[in-house]
Order: sequence, then C-alpha cells, then structure tokens
Amino acid sequence: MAVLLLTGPLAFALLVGAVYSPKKVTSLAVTIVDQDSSALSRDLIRSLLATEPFVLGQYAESPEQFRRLSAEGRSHICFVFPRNFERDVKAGRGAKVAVLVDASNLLAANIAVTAASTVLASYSIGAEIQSLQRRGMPPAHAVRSATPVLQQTRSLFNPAFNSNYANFIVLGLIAVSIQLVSLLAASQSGAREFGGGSAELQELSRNLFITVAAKSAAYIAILWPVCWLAMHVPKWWLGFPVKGSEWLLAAVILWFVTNMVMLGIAISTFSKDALLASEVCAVITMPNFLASGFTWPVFAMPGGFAAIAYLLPMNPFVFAVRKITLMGAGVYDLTRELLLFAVWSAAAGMLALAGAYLLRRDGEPGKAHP
Amino acid sequence: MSIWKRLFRRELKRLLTDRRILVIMLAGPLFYAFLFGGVYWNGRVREVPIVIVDQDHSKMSRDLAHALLASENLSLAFFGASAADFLEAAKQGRAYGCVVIPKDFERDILRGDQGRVAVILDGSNILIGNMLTRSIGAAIATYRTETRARRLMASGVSRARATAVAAPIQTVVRPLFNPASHYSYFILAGLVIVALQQVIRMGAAISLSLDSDPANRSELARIGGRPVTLLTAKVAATATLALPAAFVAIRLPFDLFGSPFRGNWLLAFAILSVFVVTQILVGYGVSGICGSALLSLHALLLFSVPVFMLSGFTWPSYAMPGWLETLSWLIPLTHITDAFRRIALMGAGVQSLWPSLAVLIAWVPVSVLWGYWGLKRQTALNQ
Repeated sequence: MAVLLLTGPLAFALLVGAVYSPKKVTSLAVTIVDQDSSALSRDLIRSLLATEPFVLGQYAESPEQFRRLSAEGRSHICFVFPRNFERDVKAGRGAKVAVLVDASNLLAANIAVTAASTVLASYSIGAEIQSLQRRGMPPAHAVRSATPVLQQTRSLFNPAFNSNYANFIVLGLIAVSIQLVSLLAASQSGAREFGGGSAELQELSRNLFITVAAKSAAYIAILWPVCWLAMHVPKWWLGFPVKGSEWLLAAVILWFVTNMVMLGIAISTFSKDALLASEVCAVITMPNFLASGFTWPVFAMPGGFAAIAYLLPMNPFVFAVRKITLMGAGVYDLTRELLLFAVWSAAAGMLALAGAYLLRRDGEPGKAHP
Repeated sequence: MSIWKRLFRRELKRLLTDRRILVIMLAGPLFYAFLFGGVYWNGRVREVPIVIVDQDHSKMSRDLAHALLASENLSLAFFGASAADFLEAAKQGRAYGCVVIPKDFERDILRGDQGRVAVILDGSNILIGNMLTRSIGAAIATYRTETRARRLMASGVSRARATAVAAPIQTVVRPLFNPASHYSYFILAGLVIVALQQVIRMGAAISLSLDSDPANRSELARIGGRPVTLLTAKVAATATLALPAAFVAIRLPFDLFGSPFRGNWLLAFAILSVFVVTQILVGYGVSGICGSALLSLHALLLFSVPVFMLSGFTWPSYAMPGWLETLSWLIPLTHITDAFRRIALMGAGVQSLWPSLAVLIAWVPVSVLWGYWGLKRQTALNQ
C-alpha cells in the first residue's frame, strides 16, 4: 500500500513527462509528386521541406503511390504539383497544388495541414506581390494590394498551442493517476475496521464522524504532498507554465484528493470485499478522463452524456487545474468547478458516513474485508 | 470424457457462474463501447462559440462577421465591445475564440490600405484551438481573396481573371481515409480495443488467481492432467466467452456509431482473435507475478493508462523520445490499434500490415510461456 501511495503518481508523472517531452509532432514524412519539374515547383518544395514538421519521405510518380505509402505508415502528407504549374502562375491563370493528407490520425493530420496551408498561403501571396512589382508597382503598395485583409492571430493561455501538445494533455493524465491511487488506496482500508468492529478503532472513538474524518485525514496527509509533487513534475521538467496561484492549485489538489479518499472509503464500506471495491474503482476511473470533457469538449457531446460528464468527479478537477495553470484563473473564475467540488464533498462524505454506520450496525464477519 | 474436456467444462462453468468475471468479461466491453460511442456520437466539434468585436460597424465588417458565422464550425457567443470581454468569457468556458474587426476597417480597404483583423484564440484545448485556427483562417482567407478580386474587377478585369490573380496558388486539401475529419472515426475503435485489453486481462487474472486457493488446487490435482492441458483448456474456455463479446463490441463503432469500415472483417476478426488469446495469457502471467486477484487487479489498473499512452494511439510513437518509441513498438496494443485503424479507415490488407502482424504474432509464444509460467505458479501443478 505504501508503495502504491508514495510512488504511483510520481512514477506516472515521470512517464507522462517522458512521453510528451518532445512537446510537438515532427518528422512527418512528405511525398512529393512534382509533375512540373520547374524552378517554381522546386523552390516551393524547398520551402515546404524547410518547415519544421516535414521531412522528405520520397518523390513519387503519381498520387496513387501515396495511398500505398500512407497505408504502410511510411508517409503522412503528399504535395502534387501539376504539369504547367509554373506557366499558369506566371501567366496569372492561377495554379492548384493538391495536398493529400493521411487523416486517419487527426492529431498528425491537423499539424500537417496547418503547416502546409501556412507555407502555401505565404508563397501564394509572395508570388502575387512579385507579380505586382514586376508590373511596376512600388513594394509597399504591392504588399497592401496583395493582402487587402491582414489577419493577426494570437493564442491565449497556450501561445504555442499548435506545437505544444504537452501543455494541453499532461496534467490531465496525471490527474487520472491521482484519482486512481486515491480511490484504490482508500477503498482497501475502510470496511475492515468499520465492519465486524475493529476493537482498537472502537476504543479510540465511537463517533463515526470523527473516525471517518481521522481515517481520511491520514490518507490525505500522505497523498496530498505526493500528488502535489506529481503535478509539479511537468513544471520542473518540461517548463510547464503555472500562471495562477500556487496556493490555489495546492488547495484544489487537496480538495480533490479529499473527495476521492472519502469516495474510496464509501466504496469500501458498501463492497463485499476489497476485490469488489477495486473493481468499482476501476469502473469509475477507466472512462473518466475521456468522458470528463478534458479532451473532447462537453458541448460537443449529446445532451445526456454532457450531463454525465459534468457529474464525473474528474470533471471539476481537470478543468480547475487547466484554468489555474494555463489561464491564470482565480477563485472567481472557478465558481462552477468549486460548486461541483462541494457537491462531491457532500455526496462522498455522506456516503462514507452512511456506509460506515451500516457496517458497524449490521457488521458481520462475512461482510467485513478479509 | 478426456481430461481436457473436463477441465474445459469446469472452467467454462466457473466463468459462467462467477458473476464478477462474467460482468467484467461480457458486460465490460459492451459498456465501454456504448459509453465511448455516446461521448463521441457527434463525431466532430461544431458550432464552437466565438465572440465578434465589430468596432467598425461598416458594411464590410458586417460581411466579414456573416462570412465567419456561415461556417458550420463557428457560432456566435455574443457581440463584444472589446477583446477584454472575450478574456472573461474564455475563463468561464463561454467562448473559445474572438475576432476583432477594428475601427476604420472598411475605410482602409477602400483606400487600398490593409484592413487588419485580430484573431484571439483560447489555446488551452488543442482540439478546439486547431479547429478554430482552420475555420477562422479559411473564412478570412476567402474574404481576403474576394476583396482582392473585387478590387481587380473594379478596374475592369474579368471575374475569372480577377479570381486567378487574387490567388495565384490555390491549395486544395484532400484528407484521405477520414475526409470529414471525424474524431470518432479516429478514436472510437481504438478505445474499444483498449477497454477489451483491460477487461480480458482482468477477467483472466482473477480467474487464475481463484485457482491458487487450496480447494481449487486439490480439485485440479484430482482431475489430473499436465499444466499444458490445463492451460489450453482454460484459454479455450475463456476465449469461448471473450471472443464473441469482443467481436460484438468491436462492431459497435461501425454498425451503431457510423464509423466507416473499408477493410476485410475476416482479417480484422483474425487479428482480434490473436490479440484476445494473447491477452488472456498475459492476464495469467500477471496473476503469476502478483499472486492474489486483488494485487493483479491493482497492477493492471495502474498500468492501463501508461500502456494506452505508450501505444501511440493518439500521440504518435514516432514523436516520442527514442527509448520510449522502442518500448511503444514492443507492446501489442500499439500494433492492434494501428492495424485496426488501417484496416477500417484505409482498407489495408495483410501486405500493408505485416510489420504490425509480425509483432502481434511474436507475442504469441511470449504470452504462452508467460501464461504457462503463471499457471504453474498459481496451481502448483507438477510440484
């Protein structure tokens, strides 16, 4: 048990940190189909291959080859420069570059398409500016004329969001381990001492509230510092930003661990044995991360599932952590999360007390933990 | 009746009468398939709320706002007075992006200067951020091209010529294998396989751990037979239950939740069968290491998320540091999820899948030896 409590979240945080330490997806293999073989197409290919996520996979004769290469996992994106590409651009007829992308992994596809679109759009505008200058327009006027609407994009909270996946996902995954360890640890402890009556425990106090509170406090005293450390591994190792208050983050971790410990005790008191308690913890934990709305937004879920997402204990924690660390949110911005925390505290506390009471009242050797 | 048949019937009877194992192995895969299918039911993130700050109040600024809101991916949270309104809304999760059209936007464009548009995004969720970048960027790029073309047409150039000059290089993006960029197509089948791995390992580990108690050991000794006979009988009985459950669960994303399946179901089932059998054996191996059912369950639970992460299913293996990429390549989940995605979305056949198939097949002898060791340790046969 001590090993689980002390090393579980930290080991998990180190592994998550290692997996996402590159922070961005690079080395996306590019297939080039250059049917024009002109100076312009070669120049554009050089620009594309100089862009960070791309590396040259191979030159191909036709786009059909790319289908095979991507099915074998050897290429992720393909640029097709049609015959007469340079001639059409220079003649002002407009030329098309086809971009085929393997969209079976959306994460890699998003990065590839964004990078490709940026390069091609810049190149297109550059080509138009050059064309205008050749026709005698002054450079500044040519720039204004070619880009009548200038878009300036600024990403808040995670400035390099498209190239830093770690900031987005790592803390959420560590939260999964915190939930699992807190629930599992507490779920193994409770009934053995409430049910059948542990003489030692009953001697100490007959007040169930004090007993449950003291047991929870013991677990929290061990889990809170470990979980706080686990949450800070990404900060120290990957330079993960914590824009908000460290005190608020510590308080949120404390509240979540408290809720999970009380829920663990409640599960343990209502379960026939420790194995069943662990199975219940597994059922709660396994879908929590994916269904909590941390990656797939709650507003994109069907109504019933959106309601379930809000009711999951993980939901307020992962959103509070994201808001504090990335957005620098304060208590006022966490109203919804703190309300949900309070609801969970009340529910888990009452369940733990009720379970302990029933076990003490009806306690029988067969119902107590082995 | 042969010893193998007696052992097979004993195992099957126990699996069918032990509610705990039955729930894990039969209900587990279906429960998770329905849950994940429901969560990703909509498939794509649509109508992301954005704030529009129109400080120009001109015809052109209104046109741009209409162009933005015409995208099915964007919806209006509210019209704001300044970008500060968005900051508050973003923290409260009411809006995820903001487009600021500054004062004199129309006047600048009509004078031949550049009209500037500021786009502010909430980058804390990459999935939403990426989608907003593309959708807002596409709407503004189209508007920019149209504006440029209108200018040219005003100077007497034909519409076709003006459009070509305004965008000398046009990019036509064609996403293969998942044309509508459906998130559910990308993730759902893989999640079902992850759940399958977990419940099959858990069920198998609990089942073998039960054989380690003295009464069951005595019963097994009475029936007789070599450890290899018991192993094959147990695996066959467990597979008899787990395989149909796995086949039904893996069909749900395609038959019920609308994911496309372009490959060969026979090939998919064959690969899944190999995977299920290896996972039963791995469950026995874990039980051999951990001893009790409880410890096995804890070990499997604690390793489930790291294994999912390492499988490269969402974060690709080739983007991990070298040593983790190697580790990722060695685990069967990496190859079953990859093979399934290729079969389902790309219609891939054996020829394209052989590296993944080779690793999955290499896991068969490894898991047999591991499972055999676990079974001998738990049942104390031949001791």
